[in-house]
Amino acid sequence: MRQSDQNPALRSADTSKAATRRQLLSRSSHLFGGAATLAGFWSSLQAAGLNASTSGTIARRAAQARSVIMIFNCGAPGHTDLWDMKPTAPADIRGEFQPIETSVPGIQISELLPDLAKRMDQLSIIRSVHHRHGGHNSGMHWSTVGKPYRIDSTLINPGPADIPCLGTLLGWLARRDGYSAAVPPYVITPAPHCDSTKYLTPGQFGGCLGNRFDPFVLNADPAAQDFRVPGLKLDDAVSPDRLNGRTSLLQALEDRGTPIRSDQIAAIDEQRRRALNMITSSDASAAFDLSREPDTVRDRYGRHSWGQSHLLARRLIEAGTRFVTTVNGPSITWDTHKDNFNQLRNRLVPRMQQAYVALLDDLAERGLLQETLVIWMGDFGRTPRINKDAGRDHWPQCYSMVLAGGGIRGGQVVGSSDSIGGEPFERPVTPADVHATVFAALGYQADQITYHHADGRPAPVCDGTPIHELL
Amino acid sequence: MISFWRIPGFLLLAVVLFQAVDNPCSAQQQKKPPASKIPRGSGQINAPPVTPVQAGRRQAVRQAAAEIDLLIATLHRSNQVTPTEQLDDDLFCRRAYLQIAGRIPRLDEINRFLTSEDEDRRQKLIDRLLSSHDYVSSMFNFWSNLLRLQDHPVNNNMLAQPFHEWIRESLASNKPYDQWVREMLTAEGQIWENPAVGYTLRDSGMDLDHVDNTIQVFLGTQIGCAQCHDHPFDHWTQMNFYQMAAFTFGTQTRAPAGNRQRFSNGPPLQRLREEMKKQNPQYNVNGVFSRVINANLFEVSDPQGRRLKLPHDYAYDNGKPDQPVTARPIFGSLPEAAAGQNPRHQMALWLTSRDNPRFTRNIVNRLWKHAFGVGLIEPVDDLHEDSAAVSPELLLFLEEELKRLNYDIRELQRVIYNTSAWQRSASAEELDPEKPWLFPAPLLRRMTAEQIWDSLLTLAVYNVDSFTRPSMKSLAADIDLDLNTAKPAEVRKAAETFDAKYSQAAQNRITRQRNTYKGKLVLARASELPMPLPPDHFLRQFGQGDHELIESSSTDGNVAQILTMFNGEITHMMLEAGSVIYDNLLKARTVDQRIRVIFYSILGREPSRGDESTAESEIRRAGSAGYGNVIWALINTKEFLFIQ
Repeated sequence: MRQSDQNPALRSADTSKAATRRQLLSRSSHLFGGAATLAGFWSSLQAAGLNASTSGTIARRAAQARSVIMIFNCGAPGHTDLWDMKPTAPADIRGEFQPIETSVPGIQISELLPDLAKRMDQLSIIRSVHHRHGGHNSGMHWSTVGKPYRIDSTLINPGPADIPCLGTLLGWLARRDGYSAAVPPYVITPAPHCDSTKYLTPGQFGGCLGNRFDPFVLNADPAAQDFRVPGLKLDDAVSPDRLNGRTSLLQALEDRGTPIRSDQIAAIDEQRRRALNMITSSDASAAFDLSREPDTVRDRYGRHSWGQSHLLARRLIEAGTRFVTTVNGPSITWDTHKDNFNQLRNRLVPRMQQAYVALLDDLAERGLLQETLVIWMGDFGRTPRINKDAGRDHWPQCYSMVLAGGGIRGGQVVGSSDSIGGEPFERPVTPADVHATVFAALGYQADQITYHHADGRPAPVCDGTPIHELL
Repeated sequence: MISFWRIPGFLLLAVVLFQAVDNPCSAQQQKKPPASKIPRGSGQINAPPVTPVQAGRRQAVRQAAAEIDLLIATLHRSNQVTPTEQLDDDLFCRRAYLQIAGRIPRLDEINRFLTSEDEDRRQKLIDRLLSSHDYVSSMFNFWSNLLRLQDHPVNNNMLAQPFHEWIRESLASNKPYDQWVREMLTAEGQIWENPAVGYTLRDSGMDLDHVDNTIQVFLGTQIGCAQCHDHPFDHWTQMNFYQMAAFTFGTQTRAPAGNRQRFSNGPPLQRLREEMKKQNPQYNVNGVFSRVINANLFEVSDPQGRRLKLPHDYAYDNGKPDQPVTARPIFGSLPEAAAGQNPRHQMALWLTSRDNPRFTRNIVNRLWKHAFGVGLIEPVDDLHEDSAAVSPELLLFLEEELKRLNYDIRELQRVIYNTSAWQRSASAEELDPEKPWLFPAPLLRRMTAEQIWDSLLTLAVYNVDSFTRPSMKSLAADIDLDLNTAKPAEVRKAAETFDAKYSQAAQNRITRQRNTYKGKLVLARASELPMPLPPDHFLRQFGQGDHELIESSSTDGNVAQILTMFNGEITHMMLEAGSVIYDNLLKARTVDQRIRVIFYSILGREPSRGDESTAESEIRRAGSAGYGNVIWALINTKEFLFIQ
């Protein structure tokens, strides 16, 4: 029996309080690194929630996919410039780029993506994804959580009542199913997707599941010359035994006091436990150590934070991590309201493609592509019509997502958009449908597994319908 | 019971008797340093002297503090609030140092305070701290978070450090706040001749955002939404925004390179690069050569003629798209003194006027929050006409007091820190956002990133205040050019000097030789480090912002912070010979005394009996390594990280 179920009033009251407390206290603060101000007892309540849905343990069948890498293009790349070309539309719609043939007859994508075109047989493009949030953070929320946020705005921040995103849920499920790898089950690299450092997308942290399901956020540049996760490698002078002795001493000294009941203080205990696990495991520090990769591999991914984040994602997946978000940022770098075409051509797409292709090839060469689902998305699409600044604006009504690996059937286009890419034309697909597909590929029967919202309501982890063509 | 680790407050550190001397550095300096990898400061502080607070005003300060306490007592009475108890001396000492000096007190400082029998020791400590370099450092952090200070805002060619030095100087000389703000808002010229232009240069090329930022920082008001449409939750219209923006829209941040009257010999960058290439085709004109030219082009001026127009898609009835806008304040009216001045001066006079209610309310509310953790009105950057303070009387009193003090904000802080309200132990209660905070006590807060960093340095490094950033004072003499007449050789000389003395590489060279641990970790107060720091720096990990947005800092915890505290360089440094705490430990003779040194140094308090026995058994078990383990454990406690 969940303690929280015994006292739902206490539960909902407390979380709403924590939510606004955060807003009030640190309007400008952010959650880099999975920080949280969740009530400690709240997370202990949630600990019980791990075993909450007994139906969940049976709601998993054998599957090919084991883990997921989500390439998140923060700020929203234009669908009609990349995946859903409209060569016959008027010039103020079709833009500057031409379609090219791909390795799959009949499927064309943008000339900006020649390397991906060669690998079209591995990819499946969904051209009819749509939602209704035009603000960056709320749009990213809908894309990654599969549900609308309570308001459509970019000036929002994560809170303890958030509905968890796909990554949080898969990390939560991994722990439910006895996750035991030394690396964290859910990692974001290099930084959370966000409007800016001040406004981060809600949903990517633990949210209503509790801060123990926060991702590990790298929050460093993996392309930096001396990149390392600070503190992860134990100093030579300190043996693991000595560290254990020290932490017992710390515990002994702290146990004596009468701690104040504070969200922030309670969260530290959980963070400490996680940190210790990571330090004492050599697997964890090895997984994060990119210097173990040959230069040729590092070069192939690209010596930039996008490329090295993709490479890190592969290393983490190999070490056991279940979900990695690689954020092509910083902030909303894809937000091309001005000079869309030059920015895509010169600044954005080359790096994106290099990292994406290197990841696909590397996974395939290592035999990991079958068990790793790679999903590519952004906040929403961009306006079919080009604006006066040669840019495109926000367009949630219709956009594209791309799936590969993990047993997904490649070489397909699912759904279509109308003649200008303005609305879904055939087979409209919601972000939740895409998530349902991911759950299904991983062997989860998403409609059978429930978690509890902050107000105590049970909800299935996903209410979308799997896209059967892809499975 | 409020404090989590309860300690009866009296003690003498009989063993480690540091002499109370006026220059706290000199006592340490006389000791001969043992060989250590940890650099030591010279004890000299290369920074402008700090104007001391007036001892003669002690009585007046006490009276004003008492009035605040009366108002708080009324608030408590009418809401049946029971305030927490007054802090004991030891925890008061720790709080005062963290709040005012931005770091924990050193052992000698604790000892001096706790052994004082002066009845006014608390007030005198507050006064001494407010008159110290520490205060300047700590308030600099406060302002750099609000003003989004970056060494190179906008682009690498802009050199903003002279502005940052000017802010430190203004704090050290305790310049009246209204005058300080006016100087920033009206400054003209290049940054090395008038460093206050750094304020306008920060938003170079972002004319509209600049207005939004200024109103938010100095009036606590958000008008940004109205930049694109009528404000949804307030009465600002897009027209209001544009009218407000019109005051500064004519201001330019770059010299007009294409203007033939100004540059009769042609655009300077182009001309000098071409001339240089002709003289020496091999010379690289792209790097620092171009940089010093570009740096010289940054200047703030107010040429007449550039007028703000409504946006092309302006959709409201009260104006037409692309119609020119006449400057008008968003509320109130221009003061008489503004007549005939240029629009930017008009705006500055209006904004900083005593009659502008939000100018005073904003800073008072922000300073109150700085002291207590919560503003009298929340959120502090979103004041509305009908925003109600939890105690309107208290807010009014503070506003009037600041006016009486002629905008001496340090003096207002002096009053606040002398209240009983501020000297109470931190609340065990949490803030309930549904209800106003009725100030039973200051909020329990985690230290800011800067407080943690500066406190750790206090435990490890001697005379860390000596490690100031290399000064930019001679920048004007070295790189100022008359761009119309300059010859390539002059530019080249300026470029070489820049490279040698001011560039990031040059600054790194200086710090590497002087104040770097293991060739990497630069040891200097947070206020003396580059801005912004890279995301993996200790300070950023613990929540220092990137200074892209106003108040981008955070005090949230995360796993990465724990990793760093458990196992980071700075923790290792603490446990090495030559760190302050290590040396102090060795000076004590018995195990007992050593344990006391550790507890006082890190937590500012005496060990309880239980603490003592836990620590003792660790030391018995592990031998001398046990001391290191106890130090390690204490700096990792929550008690260390939080301000009670």
